[in-house]
Amino acid sequence: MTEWRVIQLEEHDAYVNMAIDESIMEHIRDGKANPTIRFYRWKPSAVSIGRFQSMNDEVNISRCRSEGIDCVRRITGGGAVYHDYDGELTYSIIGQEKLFPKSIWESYRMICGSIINGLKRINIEAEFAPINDILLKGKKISGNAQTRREGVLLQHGTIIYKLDVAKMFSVLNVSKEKVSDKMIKNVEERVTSVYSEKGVSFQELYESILYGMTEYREYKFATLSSGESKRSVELAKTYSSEDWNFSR
Amino acid sequence: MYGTAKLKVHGGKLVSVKVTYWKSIDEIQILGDFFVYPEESLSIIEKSLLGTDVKSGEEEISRNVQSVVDKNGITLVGITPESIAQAIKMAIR
Repeated sequence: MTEWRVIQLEEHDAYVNMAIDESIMEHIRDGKANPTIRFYRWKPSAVSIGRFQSMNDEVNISRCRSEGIDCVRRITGGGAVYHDYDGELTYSIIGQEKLFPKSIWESYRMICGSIINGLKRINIEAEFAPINDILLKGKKISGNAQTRREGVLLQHGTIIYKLDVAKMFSVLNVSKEKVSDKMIKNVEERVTSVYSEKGVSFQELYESILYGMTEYREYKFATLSSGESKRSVELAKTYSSEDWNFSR
Repeated sequence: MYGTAKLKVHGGKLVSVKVTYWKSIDEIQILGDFFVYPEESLSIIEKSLLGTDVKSGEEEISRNVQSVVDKNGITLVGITPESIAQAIKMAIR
């Protein structure tokens, strides 16, 4: 059985968080690291946009700058996300593609299944909603995004712990099309949070998702290697660069 | 001339295009919350659209995008050649 590495909950800024994911991918590609599950928060709070989005279209840059909110482009597709420090738990799962179903849809289903499994521990009966969401009673509680490169799969995603709708709308330029398409104008009718549903602590949520992600995997707790840390410092420079973040 | 358009793909994601054109497409960006595997291949699709006659029909553009997708082993998730073509025609209308 494959032995996984689990990196317990950490806090980093947006650029370092994205850099660590990519550094781990490179090290797994080179056979220098075990497949890895990591958990993290964003400190300071941040906005991430999908690989194919425009920073200027999606994000209220001036508001973010005035409030000290980091803005970063992910290597994964998907949409813009406000990562509130107090409002969400983020995970990444990174491993050789052969550890996951070949089908993109099935691999989302499998990995999101682990999240759903974890949520059950706190009595949240959520369900996978293709392409890349997890819903509770029809409301989004988790968003996920995946990339595959050079034989390595990375999926990262967030589990919404507390929702600050006013803050989210103040930093994101929400598209009218998306709202009208779903015929629902109130975000609180489309999105929910663990705290509003069950009132559990952040630690309880973390422990539940940790359980869900590791229940059927052999694993050891570990940290980044020095090579991974060093590389992530280099990559963080790219992730914080205007060239990368404003490339579209 | 410059045009933009945005649409929601049925059962999929948002796609928007920004097009600079005269008689044909001079510059184009395809944007949105969709997924493309491998990610770098979106630029192959964008490049293939340069020079497209603005009078080309939606079906013709869609067929051309599909052919680039097939030829390069590109996987589109939440976006389709049809939706790209539709957005382009909306943008250059």
